[in-house]
Amino acid sequence: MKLPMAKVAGVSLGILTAIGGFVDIGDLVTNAVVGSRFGLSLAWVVAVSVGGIAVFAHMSGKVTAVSGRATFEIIRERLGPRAALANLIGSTAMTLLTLMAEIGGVALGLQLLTGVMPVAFILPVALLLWLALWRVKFTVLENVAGLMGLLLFAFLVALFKLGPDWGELGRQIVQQTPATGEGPLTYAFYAVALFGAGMTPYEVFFFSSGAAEEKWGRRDLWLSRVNVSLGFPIGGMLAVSIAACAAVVMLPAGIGVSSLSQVVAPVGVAFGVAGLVVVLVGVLAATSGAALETALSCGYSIAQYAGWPWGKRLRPAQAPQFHAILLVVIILGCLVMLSGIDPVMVTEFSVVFSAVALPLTYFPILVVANDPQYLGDQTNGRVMNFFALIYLVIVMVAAVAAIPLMILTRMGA
Amino acid sequence: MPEGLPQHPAHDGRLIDANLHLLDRQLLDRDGRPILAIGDLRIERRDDGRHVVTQLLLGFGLTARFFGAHRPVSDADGVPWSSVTEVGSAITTNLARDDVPALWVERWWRDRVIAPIPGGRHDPG
Amino acid sequence: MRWRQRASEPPARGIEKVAASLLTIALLVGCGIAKDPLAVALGDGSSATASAAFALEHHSSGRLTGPTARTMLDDARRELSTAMEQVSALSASGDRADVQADALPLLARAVHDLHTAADRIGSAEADAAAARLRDDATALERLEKQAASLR
Repeated sequence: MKLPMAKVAGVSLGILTAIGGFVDIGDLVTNAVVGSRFGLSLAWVVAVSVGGIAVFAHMSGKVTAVSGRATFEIIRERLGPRAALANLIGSTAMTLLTLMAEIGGVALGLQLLTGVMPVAFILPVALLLWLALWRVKFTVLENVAGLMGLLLFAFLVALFKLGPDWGELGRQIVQQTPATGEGPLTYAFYAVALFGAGMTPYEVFFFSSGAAEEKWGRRDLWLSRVNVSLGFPIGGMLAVSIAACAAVVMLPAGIGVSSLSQVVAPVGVAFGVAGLVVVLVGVLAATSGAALETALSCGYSIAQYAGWPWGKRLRPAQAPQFHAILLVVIILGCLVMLSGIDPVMVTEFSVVFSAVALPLTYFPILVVANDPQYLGDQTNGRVMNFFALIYLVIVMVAAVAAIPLMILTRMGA
Repeated sequence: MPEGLPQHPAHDGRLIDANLHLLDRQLLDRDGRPILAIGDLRIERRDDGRHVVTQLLLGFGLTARFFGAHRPVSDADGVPWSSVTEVGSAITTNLARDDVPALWVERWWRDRVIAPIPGGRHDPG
Repeated sequence: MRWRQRASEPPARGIEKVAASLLTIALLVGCGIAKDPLAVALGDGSSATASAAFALEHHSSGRLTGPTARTMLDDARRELSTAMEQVSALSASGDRADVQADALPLLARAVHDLHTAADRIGSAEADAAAARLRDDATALERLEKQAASLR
């Protein structure tokens, strides 16, 4: 019988995952760019990605809770070691790219608070992230990052303070065609980019491994449903409010968002310096949380594939290769970002390649969620399968279209 | 019982498919902690002509295959079938981690890399 | 399994050919629809200049912190000089060459005003500098629309 505190902690898992999934650096930048150039005419993409990730995160959480086995372990067994390895390499590469973007995002946030160049922060940020992964308990990481990330509600509150023309915003959402002079190709590119930003592949692995870290059992399936139906819609709402702030402040000013400073500026316009500081702290919390998540996802996937012991709940000495992976990915991310590469550019690439990598993650989850050997009587019902299959088609279309669109629009220029 | 298979003397045993239930599955130690993935089986021919599974071989030998070779298999690469206590979604054994020679890699990482870092042997948080 | 492979090869090759041709056609059509690089560069320039004006004004009115405003100005400076490089590197002809010829002095003026503005941040002349940048942005935006309509 679990104590109430454990249940509260369980809900935090959903909130952290939602925050990592919907307001990490990829979403912060992409939503603001879209809002400043398309208004809210792409809000429907956020809604679609909320539905998609809810379906797949719930499936993967269910798989772990019922079978007691971790996602990548099952993928290896169902697809065979060689196919699973190809899958592992593809999805780990994308997750690593996202980790680099998040480290860069933390550095950008610190630049906005202090005025110091972002590259100066890369090493200390990497060190702090690794220390958190080394010593801090999983639930503490979750709760702190999750709660502080809620400061990003400043975007939603700022939107109200800015007193926008709600009718106009509503019209943009419903019409889904931009009033500005953007072409259909650019529209399609940003739809795919926003989709990739929202349905990030690592989410699913993190959610299910996190469920194992928190020792979910069959009785905790309701927790998965609460997390999924609460956490992801909240995340989606925050994402749309970021776009809306850009639509209300940046679009009329003729400013196309291309840096983090322009993403947070609307909150400053609404609440002044105090509001700006609050939202920047929220940005730091969300991006560091996402950095931790992506690093952990790499560790989970690789260790589960190989069959090694894994998890933050074990002592490092009991899961040595898992912790070695965490150390290596942080070092790799740090080294790449130390080159001074523009974090926003890394973010843009990570978002597009996330869209490309989506089928690698979602297809195996769907296969496993229908396997009675692992799930017994808890396999997908017809309704769940129906939605899952529709999303699989959408995911495939996005994955195929992503790179051609990126090339044709020159990264959405 | 599937048709065409020879009768087995132990009628009350459980019929499992080696490919489906054993290969690529997770092997667990006696505390339920993961050891490694099962990559292969060693099957020996007894004197009476029957074939029995004697060992579960660990790892996929992908590193060796990547370089174009086949991994040489020795006794130390696996665990005896007799140590298996449960065949479910993962295979549980009654082994302690120190009894498994194939875990030398893990012990190397633990002793050379992780334990030297301060806090490596402590509980998290 | 060699016999199975041979049986499936001919139709598979056919499908591959169709897919490759469709993709090529799509890419060629797409290239036709893709945005004119002159218009894109002018758009970036106008956006950067407007962003710089925004930073100055809102810093004066106490809405943005010093570090944030300065970062916005630095980013704007970088974006504007990239835009200028791109416009000068274009090989345009006819009407587009006219637009390009108009664009270069405008961009140069915007760059100059941006440098001056960066020094004026936080001082009494910040608003005047912002107003000049705003004019530059509007002029660049007009040129962008002109370039976009030439197709």
